[in-house]
Amino acid sequence: MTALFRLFNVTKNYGDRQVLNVEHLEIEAGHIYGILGPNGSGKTTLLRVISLLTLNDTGKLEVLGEHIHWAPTQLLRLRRQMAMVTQSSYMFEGSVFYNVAYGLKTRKTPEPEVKVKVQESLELLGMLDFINYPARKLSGGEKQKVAIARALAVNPKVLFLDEPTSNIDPSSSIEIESYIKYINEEKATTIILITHKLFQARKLAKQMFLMWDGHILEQGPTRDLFHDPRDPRTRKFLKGEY
Amino acid sequence: MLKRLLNHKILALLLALMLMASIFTFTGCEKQAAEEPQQEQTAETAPVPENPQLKLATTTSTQDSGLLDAILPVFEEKTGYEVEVIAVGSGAAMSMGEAGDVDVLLVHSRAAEDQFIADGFGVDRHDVMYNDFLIIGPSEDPAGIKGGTDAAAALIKISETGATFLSRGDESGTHKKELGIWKAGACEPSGTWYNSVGKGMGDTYRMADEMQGYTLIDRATYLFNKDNYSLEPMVEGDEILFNPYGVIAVNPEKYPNVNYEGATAFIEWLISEDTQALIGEYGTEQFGSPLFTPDAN
Amino acid sequence: MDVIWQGLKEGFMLILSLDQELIQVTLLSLHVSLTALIIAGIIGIPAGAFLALKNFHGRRLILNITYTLMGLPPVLAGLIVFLFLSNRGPLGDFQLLFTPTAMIIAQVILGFPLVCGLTARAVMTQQQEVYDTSVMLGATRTQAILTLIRESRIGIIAALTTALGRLIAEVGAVMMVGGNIQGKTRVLTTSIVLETRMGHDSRALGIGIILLLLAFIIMLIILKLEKRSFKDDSTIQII
Repeated sequence: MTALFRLFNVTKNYGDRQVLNVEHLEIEAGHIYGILGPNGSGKTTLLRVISLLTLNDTGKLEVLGEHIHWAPTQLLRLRRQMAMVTQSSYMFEGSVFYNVAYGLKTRKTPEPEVKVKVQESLELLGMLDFINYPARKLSGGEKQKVAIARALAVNPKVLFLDEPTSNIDPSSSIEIESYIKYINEEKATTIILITHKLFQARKLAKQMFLMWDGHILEQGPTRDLFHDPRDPRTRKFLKGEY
Repeated sequence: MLKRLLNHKILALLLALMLMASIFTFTGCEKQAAEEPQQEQTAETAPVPENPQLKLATTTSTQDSGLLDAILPVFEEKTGYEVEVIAVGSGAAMSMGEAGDVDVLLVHSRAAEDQFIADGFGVDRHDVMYNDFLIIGPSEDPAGIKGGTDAAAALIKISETGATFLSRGDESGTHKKELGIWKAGACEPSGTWYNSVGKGMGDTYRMADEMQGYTLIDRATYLFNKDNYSLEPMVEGDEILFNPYGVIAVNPEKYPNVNYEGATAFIEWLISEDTQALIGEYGTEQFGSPLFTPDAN
Repeated sequence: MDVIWQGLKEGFMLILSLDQELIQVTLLSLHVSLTALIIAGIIGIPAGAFLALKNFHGRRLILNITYTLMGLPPVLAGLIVFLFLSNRGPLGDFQLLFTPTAMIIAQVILGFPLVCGLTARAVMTQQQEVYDTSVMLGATRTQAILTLIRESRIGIIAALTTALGRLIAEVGAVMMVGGNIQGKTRVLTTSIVLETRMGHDSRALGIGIILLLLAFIIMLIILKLEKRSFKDDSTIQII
């Protein structure tokens, strides 16, 4: 398998504070990857760097097999193969349809195809009934489902999920978890999931990365990480949360 | 962090503003303090009137020509009155008189003045002075009226050639005079060449110059501004262009609140020999000829 | 009190009588101010968005100048345009002074900073996440910027209504460069000044009522348009 993301000595500073310092990281296609870590450990910054939203200060970055030189054409080409859902997704002013169709319209997809794909995506997330509903009036859980449908509509190779269920109720949470699993298995979409919820990581992720102070403290198959953490800090973190 | 910085900035700005305000109020106080002894001085030489505020409604021409600036200080120093000048068209001046909002009028619209008195709004009317109107226009003179002495004939020529003409159009004394001349020529002006601008004399003069059109103007305003503009005198000296100014006190029986005492003092002073001489001289120094001819006999 | 009552009465009589001259004056008011608003919008909205989004040297200064010019006194704008269009001015050859075109130019100068400055503010209040969401869905830079502007609609519409209010009620600039010529450049506000000068207070008040009604109708139309594009627009419930 080829690596989707490859990082060497990638750092990012905000003023004097180093928020990211990854010596070496490779993420391969196909799985669900979990990124765990306490607040401020650099999870979101890592995600933003590999999704090409935040410029790294130093180091080498490869995304989808390409060395990143931050040219707008390259960014556009690569970003069009990815999609992202954040913890409280921004809904554009307008209907659910407008939101889900947004990505397709940026790609100048023909109108009939847009309709079909929007319907498919919403159907998958069980949100078809809301297609003409104003997106900003949805509940938190509904918004997240629309955000996932919106991301899926463009058929991405990689889906970034930044704490997608942290602001919503447990039952919606479980529902969304099942969709995440389904998307990965049926659509062969690689999923990179930041989460606070250890059980969610355990349930969904095949591989785990544990971040600490901007570093990747420990990585490996989820089972190993949970049962036999090597670093004492990992052990403490996993216990503290239980 | 940024927010705090911003707050500091706003705070600093507010402080600076307050400081500035306090400085201004300070100088304001100083000025007052400096002015006070002067006022006392004048109070010693002039009698102190019971109600020193006198509101004078007058036509824009007396203000625009600079006459009031030249003579009013003399009145104020002599009598202790402070004159508030409201310079508007004759029509508006008389409306203010009808509403009792002013104490005394200095206007030039003879027929309306007589009506004003007949209606019981005004008393003690006196002739003060007169000046005359003239028709001015561009040096190219597209209507071919230059040098004529018949105002009505000249206006008819303008209307026939469709040359640009500007009318005050504000029911002022000048406007009424213009309408009177059209009437004398039995002509009803209308058309794109006829521009009713609804403005004071100074503004109309300026517009006429920009548009290179003809207009009727009082001599005072013309002489006062002519160096700034290119229009030239076309027709003057016709009897119909004669422009008498009258002074009228607002009837105290109708409006007990008006400053009739002040109005009387002003009228008496205005028609006194000294003041009449002053009016007769005004303008000679600056324009080579007087702007107004006193006629209070 | 009499004058006010009479003014109200006369105002409604004026509307009912459909006075030919008054209709013409009203239409010219609309023509001048709406044209100026459209032009100010066409250049002001992109300029405001540019100032909000593009980081360049001197941006802060230009923004501050724009904010200052939002309070530009109409008479001053009028004077500047007058001096340029005057026969002695650099643009005198175009013979534009005392025409509706001159009035529109002056009002564009008044309206532009308002539209530009308020648009800049509206766009600047948008969060980074709007841009991020947009590009992560595959938008090009241009598409993302257009989305940012679209998401600032409420603020931009507020900018336009504010500008229109200022333009339609403004008298200083149109008086100076228009000249208040009857049948050519006389608008509602200059009519009010003239009627007041002539002592026709109640008629002036009557025209004022027409002006207010006009402003009210335009605002209703704009709000209606706004509602149409914001079916989901909700108000804050204060209980």
